[in-house]
Amino acid sequence: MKPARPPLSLATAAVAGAVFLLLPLISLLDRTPWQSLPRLLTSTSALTALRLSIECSLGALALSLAVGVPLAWLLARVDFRGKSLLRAAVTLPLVLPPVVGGVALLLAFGRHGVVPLSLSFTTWGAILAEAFVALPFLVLAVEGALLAVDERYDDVAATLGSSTTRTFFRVTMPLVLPALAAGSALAWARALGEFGATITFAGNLPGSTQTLPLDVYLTLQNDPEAAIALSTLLLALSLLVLVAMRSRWRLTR
Amino acid sequence: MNVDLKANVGTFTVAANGAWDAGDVVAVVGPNGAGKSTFLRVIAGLSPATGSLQINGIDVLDRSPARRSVGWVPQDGALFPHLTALDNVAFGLRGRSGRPAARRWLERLGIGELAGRRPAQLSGGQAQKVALARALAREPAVLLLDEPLAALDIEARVDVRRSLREHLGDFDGVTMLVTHDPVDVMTLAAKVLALDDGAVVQDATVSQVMTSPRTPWLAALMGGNGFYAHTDAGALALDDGGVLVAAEVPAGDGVEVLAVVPAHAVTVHRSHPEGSARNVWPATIRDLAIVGGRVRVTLDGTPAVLAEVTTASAAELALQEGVDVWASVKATEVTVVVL
Repeated sequence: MKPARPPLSLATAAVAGAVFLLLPLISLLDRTPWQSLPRLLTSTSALTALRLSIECSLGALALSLAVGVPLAWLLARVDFRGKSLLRAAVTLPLVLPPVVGGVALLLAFGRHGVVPLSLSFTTWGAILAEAFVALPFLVLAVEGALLAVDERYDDVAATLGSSTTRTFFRVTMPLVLPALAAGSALAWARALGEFGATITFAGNLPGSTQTLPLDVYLTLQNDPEAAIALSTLLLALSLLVLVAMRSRWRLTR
Repeated sequence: MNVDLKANVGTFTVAANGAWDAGDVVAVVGPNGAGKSTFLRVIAGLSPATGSLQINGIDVLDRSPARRSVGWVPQDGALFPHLTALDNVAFGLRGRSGRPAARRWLERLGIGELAGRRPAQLSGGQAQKVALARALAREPAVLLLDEPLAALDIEARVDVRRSLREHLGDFDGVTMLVTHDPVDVMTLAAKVLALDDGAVVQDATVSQVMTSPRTPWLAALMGGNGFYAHTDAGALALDDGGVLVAAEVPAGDGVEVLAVVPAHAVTVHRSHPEGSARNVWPATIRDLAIVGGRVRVTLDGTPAVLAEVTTASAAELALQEGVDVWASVKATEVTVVVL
């Protein structure tokens, strides 16, 4: 049976939605100064921001992996009191305004924070801010995959003489690898685009905390062309993540 | 292996005890929810239990699954999907000799050519053989097989059953095999451990269970009828109604027994039979099924009973659902198992 023709009202709304999503991106591409793009993207300030962005987002991803995978494992495999509370806490940064996250980080790890590590306004602060917002993407992706893995594999591995640690690395992790990759890509992309928490907690110091999104925002005031060029770069990176994840999905299907 | 265990899983309790020798193949049978899989998991160390579990004379109950010398094959094998057949078998083997040993095991099971395949590329029967090789390769003292044939089609079932018979025969540990199929019980096992509602209802040899089952469910598994009854004035008063006369009835009234009547011993008639059968009662045909060239007739009556007749006589008697008939059983065909 062929699907029925969509009702006109629905189709119109859907087209409007698509235009709403695509038009800004097309406008961005349309206004991108393609001729001067190489020069704009290789300016000292752009390169500094780009390098810093890559460093911080990769650092945030590493941090997210280091604590996110164990968190996901805990949520998926261990029963304990307050589990739903922990899951809520892990999920919260997804819906929390990033600027609130920044303020909270400041109160926790800032100069006069609960844990006075004086991480505010340092590159480590930027990494922390990005990890704070990126972590949920990783944890939720990996937890979902862990829940889907048949627990009998753990049981079989145990009867085959495998320690819990060996089973984790030889059985569990390989089985959730596709989800781990997808979660990492999402988390990295989220970290790369982080703005609110970063500027609040880490400030806007060129070379140490001024990442690409911050640079774009500030450059837009006095050099719109350079800001558009940087935006196009970020758009390209985002598309790259999307394409990488698509091929990843194909592999796993 | 000596077992005296009690395990609580949620609100369900499984208590089982028994002793088996190396080389024993034990069919673990019972209705769904009897606790068969839980019993296996407890022995494997995958579910907690209290009591004692001696394997090779050593109590292993407080040991982890890895240190109990048990092999566990869950339903459908549970091969690691990301590893090849060879790597699945080698997973439990350490050191440089692991992979060659794994290859030898695959070859012993006649599936050496599948070594490089992933589980997704294996048929159900092949996967089950790889899972068996994986468990056997560690040469465990106890091999636990949870319905190894249940998920297979008929052809694969015959093939894997033949493999099992061959390799369980060579295996010098204790095998515990959960099954619902009487053919498995008769062809693979020498002993039976029957569970019901978390408790052992019979621990005996296969032939003992065939001749003297202790529950109606076991009697039905072996293709017959079993009725809880007590002796009453030289006859058997059935708990669910009806009376059966048996050739040999224990002395005294009120002795709890199971009256066992093989399905083939129940004769079906269209009119009241004239013969010498001592047990004759009216019944109605509820269901007919052809099994192995014979017709199994489920009869409602007092008692309700399963009869087995030839296709020829079923046709001659024009048996149909809903037809009123007479059932008869000779007194010599009623076996009395004292409970």
